[in-house]
Amino acid sequence: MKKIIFILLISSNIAYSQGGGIMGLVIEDPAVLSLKFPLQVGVKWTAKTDSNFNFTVLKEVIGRETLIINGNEYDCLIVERIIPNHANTNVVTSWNHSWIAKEGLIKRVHFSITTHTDVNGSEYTATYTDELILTDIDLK
Amino acid sequence: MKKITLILFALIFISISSCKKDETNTPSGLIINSYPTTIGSEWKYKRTYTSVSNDTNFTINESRVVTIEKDSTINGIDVVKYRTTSIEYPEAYSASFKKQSWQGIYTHAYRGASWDASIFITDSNNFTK
Repeated sequence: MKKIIFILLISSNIAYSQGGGIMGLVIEDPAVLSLKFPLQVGVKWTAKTDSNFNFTVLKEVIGRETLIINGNEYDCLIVERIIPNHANTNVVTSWNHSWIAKEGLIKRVHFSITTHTDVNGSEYTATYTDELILTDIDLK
Repeated sequence: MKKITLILFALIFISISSCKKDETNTPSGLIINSYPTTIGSEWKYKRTYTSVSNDTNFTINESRVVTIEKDSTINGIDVVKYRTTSIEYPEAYSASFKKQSWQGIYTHAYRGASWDASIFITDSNNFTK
């Protein structure tokens, strides 16, 4: 019986894999609500709930900011992503902000501080900053 | 007299409460009701990834290109494909399949990206075409 379930799982995985990438295609069912309309300051929503891995992804529009890139002004709403029950317990601080304009994603910053233990058993922290910022845009 | 004083206090309290509520609910003025979904649209980004720990510090600079490609169908739903590539790491590739409605923009599937619902995100460059 276990063997049959295993084969079924493998088959469904292959069925979802299209294109031969290492990870293949991952289906979101139900679909994830990436942005909720109308998007404005103060709006909060649940983007995703994963009962298998017991986590929820919440989003909230926390502010508004005008960004100037190459002389162009982009009026942005700042969307914060929150994962309140994150399974990764070594995370000290973590936040993710996206600057969304009518023209699309203008900027995104992910910041986190995590704790680790080295081979000698000493604890140390690591800081990661991942920033994406628009340099050019061509909307059809 | 006491009754009048109590009523006055109650009115003042209600007035203050409603004022506070109005302040917190005041929208900033900007309302976004749609996201670009036209095929052929393109965004270019500069990505800077910095890692600092007790013994290793490094920064990765990278250029990302996001293009909306032809329509795809996921589970019978028509979606648009947001394809992300990296100029410095041409083997890197991710895609996000989305559909827009009046309620928002939904991610129906992704390839080579995080489970995260962000519009364009790849956590790694280890994904090949």
